[in-house]
Amino acid sequence: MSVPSTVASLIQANAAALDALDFDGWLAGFTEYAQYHITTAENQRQGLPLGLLHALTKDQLRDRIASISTVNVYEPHRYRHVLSQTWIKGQGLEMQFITPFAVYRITETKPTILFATGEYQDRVEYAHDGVRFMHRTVVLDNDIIDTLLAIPL
Amino acid sequence: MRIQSTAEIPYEAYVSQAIYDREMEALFQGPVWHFLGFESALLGDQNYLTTEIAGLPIVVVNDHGVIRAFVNRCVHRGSLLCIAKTGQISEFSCVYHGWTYDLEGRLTGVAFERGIQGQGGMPPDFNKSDHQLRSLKVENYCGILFGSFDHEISDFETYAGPDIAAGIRRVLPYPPILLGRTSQLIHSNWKIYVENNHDSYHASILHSFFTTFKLNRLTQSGGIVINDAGGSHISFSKRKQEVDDTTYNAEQLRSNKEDFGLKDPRALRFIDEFNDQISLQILTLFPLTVFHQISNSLCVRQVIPRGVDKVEVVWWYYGFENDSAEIRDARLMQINLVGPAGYVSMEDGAVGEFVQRNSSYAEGAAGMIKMGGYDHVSSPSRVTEAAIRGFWKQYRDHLGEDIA
Ligand code: FES
Ligand SMILES: [Fe+2]
Repeated sequence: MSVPSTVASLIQANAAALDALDFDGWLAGFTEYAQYHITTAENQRQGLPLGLLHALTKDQLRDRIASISTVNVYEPHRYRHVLSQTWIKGQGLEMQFITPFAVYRITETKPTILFATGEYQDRVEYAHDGVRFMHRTVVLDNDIIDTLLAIPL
Repeated sequence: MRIQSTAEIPYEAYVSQAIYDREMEALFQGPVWHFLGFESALLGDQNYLTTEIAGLPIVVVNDHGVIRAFVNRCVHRGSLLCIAKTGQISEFSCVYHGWTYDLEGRLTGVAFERGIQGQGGMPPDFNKSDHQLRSLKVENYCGILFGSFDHEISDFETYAGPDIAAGIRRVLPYPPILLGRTSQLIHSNWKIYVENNHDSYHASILHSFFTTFKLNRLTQSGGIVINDAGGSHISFSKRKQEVDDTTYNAEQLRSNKEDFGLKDPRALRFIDEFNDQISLQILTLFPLTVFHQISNSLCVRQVIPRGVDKVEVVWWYYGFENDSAEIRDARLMQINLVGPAGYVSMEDGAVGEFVQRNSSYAEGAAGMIKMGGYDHVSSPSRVTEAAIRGFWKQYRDHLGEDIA
């Protein structure tokens, strides 16, 4: 099976929304009961459950956006996602769309840095009005986060 | 540099390479205890783990039930001996020229020690038994392995003092198991990060998520406890346990900001697992270890200085073998509060850098720590910088009044 173009578009559009700080656009890519996790490859390899961010509902994603937009204090920044070709891993219920990425972080006062590399591990739901993430795990290759991680990846 | 009084800290302390070099020698390799890792990572015989103390590579090994720690450095030309994070070995063997050591650190083998056919080889005055790996003193306290370069140091509990030791036992009633690990690189001197943990004054101001959700207001009952040496402390506050989901709904947790409330507040749930209503305990162990309890998130933060203007913080999240599913879920959900991406702690990654950027060429200027007076004693008030003054007191006791 090849990656449906609707899924490829969802993954691209979702990254583009984050890069544009269009958080509503980002949220629109998730189902109401979507799960979203950020962890590291090492935690995943060892089967350790605690990573960086752990949301079990879209409301928790809305809360994160609200908090980083109105409550948390940090230096303004944005990301630039560079995505590689999505491929399919496993089949049936185990099937995941895997998309390797590099994310650069852009601030006003410092040079742009390579902030993270890793892969998206996605499960999606097809509905009459489009395709959305029902389960997304963002797996970072490296354990180290530079400064902080406020905006989701 | 001269630290003028306990209430003034020259910014030079955060940027001077000479001071950093002295800290590396006299402080970190002196009579202090450092976090090495969890006992649970070394349960198997001949298991080892590698870690760092202030950038110095360390290997810790289970030698038939005795935990030993060494500087992970070959006596020949200084190569690393163990490269992997964890593994199993029956002896240390250097990849560079093949020298070997037993697990007690004694040099046991030198490749071509006698040369080949009478040519080459080590000189006659060389004696393997004169050489061993540099060892650390090790103590297992509550399932956490601590190490010190000073073999004469007092035992861990005496070093920490009774109150700090009790605070550690409180969050480690059983040996910990690792639930996850993450790491954060902060662009500041290590002392700015450590001071931040001693700074009970900032917590409910900078971390506006805390106050927004009434999680840690300075008006809540709590206090700070400082040990006699000054450099280790506990800051704590109490909160009533919300018994079930309905009592911590969005209405009850309505924020101070009228227009902001959490749609899904399950991350704020606190289970009073230690039966004392303390929902927040930040504990520092001088100089480089922090234990946090933030609701049910339990963590050891290992502070690794990386040069004068960088510090890495490794977050070792733990729980216990017998955690109920409910507690395990709470620890999982509260990952959203803590760590480099945490609602209540992400700011600490940024604010240290804000101070650091102002510390170079500060023309002899100094910051002040006068909140709460000039002493460094325990108090029921957290509106104080007493614990920061305590940190600097012990710092000067180790490095001298006139440290430059
Ligand atoms: S450096 Fe280890 S054997 Fe030479
Ligand atoms: Fe803080």
